[in-house]
Amino acid sequence: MRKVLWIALLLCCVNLSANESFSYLLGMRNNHYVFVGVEYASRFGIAVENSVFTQGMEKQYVRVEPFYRWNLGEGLVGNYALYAGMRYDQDYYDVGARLDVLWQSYRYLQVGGTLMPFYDSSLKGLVGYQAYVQSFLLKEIGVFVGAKNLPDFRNVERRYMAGLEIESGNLIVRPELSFPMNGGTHLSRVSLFFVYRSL
Amino acid sequence: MKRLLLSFLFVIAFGSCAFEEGEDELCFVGDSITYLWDLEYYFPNYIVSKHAVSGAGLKQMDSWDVSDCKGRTTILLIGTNDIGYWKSTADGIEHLREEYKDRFIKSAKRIEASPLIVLSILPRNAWGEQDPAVNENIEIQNEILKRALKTEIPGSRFVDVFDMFLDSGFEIREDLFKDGLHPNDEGYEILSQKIQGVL
Repeated sequence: MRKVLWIALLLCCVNLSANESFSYLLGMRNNHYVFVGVEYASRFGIAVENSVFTQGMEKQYVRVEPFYRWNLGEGLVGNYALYAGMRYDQDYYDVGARLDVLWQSYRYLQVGGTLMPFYDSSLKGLVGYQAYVQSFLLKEIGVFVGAKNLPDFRNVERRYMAGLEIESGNLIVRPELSFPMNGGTHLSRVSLFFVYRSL
Repeated sequence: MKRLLLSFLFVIAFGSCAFEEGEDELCFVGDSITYLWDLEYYFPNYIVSKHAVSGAGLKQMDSWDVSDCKGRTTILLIGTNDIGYWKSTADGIEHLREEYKDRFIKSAKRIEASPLIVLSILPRNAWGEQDPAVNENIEIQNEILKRALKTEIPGSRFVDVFDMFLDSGFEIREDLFKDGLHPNDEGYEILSQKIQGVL
């Protein structure tokens, strides 16, 4: 497993410095998963993600995710991605496809959404989604509110969410507070997403 | 794109043969301590099902449909609502403890978990005015349950966290509880790590 990871990381980093069309990215999602990746012409890319659970090594999770970022103009941007992941001890695997769309014609009102059909070897087929609106009232800081059932971890969970999107140069930081739709604010959760792109 | 999709279908088809079913599923049964536990967050790479109701004891638990826990790794944490007012100095307490042990084993067997992991009953100081003799009794009851589980339900595990939540003189560690009864985030972190240690 380690060899596979090292090879994937090496592939991600090949020719980065030699060709300006390549950029790298690194980041974290949901506090528990770190990722690194390489992107060509700010369009095609591949990322490798690994969990940083406090559990033993064999319980960690690794995912490979090729993606394509697009811009249709008129403020409509988005991202296609496919992914395949598994736990180190091979207790489960998952594969999925993800479509992110964001309409960002105006700084004050932006609308975004995600559709993510996926297959988990235990949960079988599921569809995750999220929809949100966000507004950049300040130059670099926006706020967003929305609803989702996208899995924070493995299973879908219907939750309301709200948070900040902070964009500073090549860095995007997105802290989020979410809580279940069926009441239960005691199960509110703070999670952090950030990504740094070298270009 | 077609090749990518075909590769994904290939992974699904062969993954179904290579991955064990049910190895990554956990069942939790308990009272409000389990109800308030963000299990998806603390057990991010498991499929979790939860049977938990605030104020529940063995009597309530016996009426629940826990058939989905049959044959699965199940974590049972219950008892504080049943014996949370019993003092070690009370008349006939030995008899009550033995009777409770019998009821506990009967209820635990009904789940038909495999394996069954029982968390020790936590010490408490509800509303900040509980007699320390209550915690002394809980400690003794935990010992009785531990011994009984070993003989009555072979293969079960008793995870003793009682001392971790206890300060000197049978006082609770206030820094691990929200309200003297329910753990705070740090307390849940300890519970989760102890469970992960035996999974």
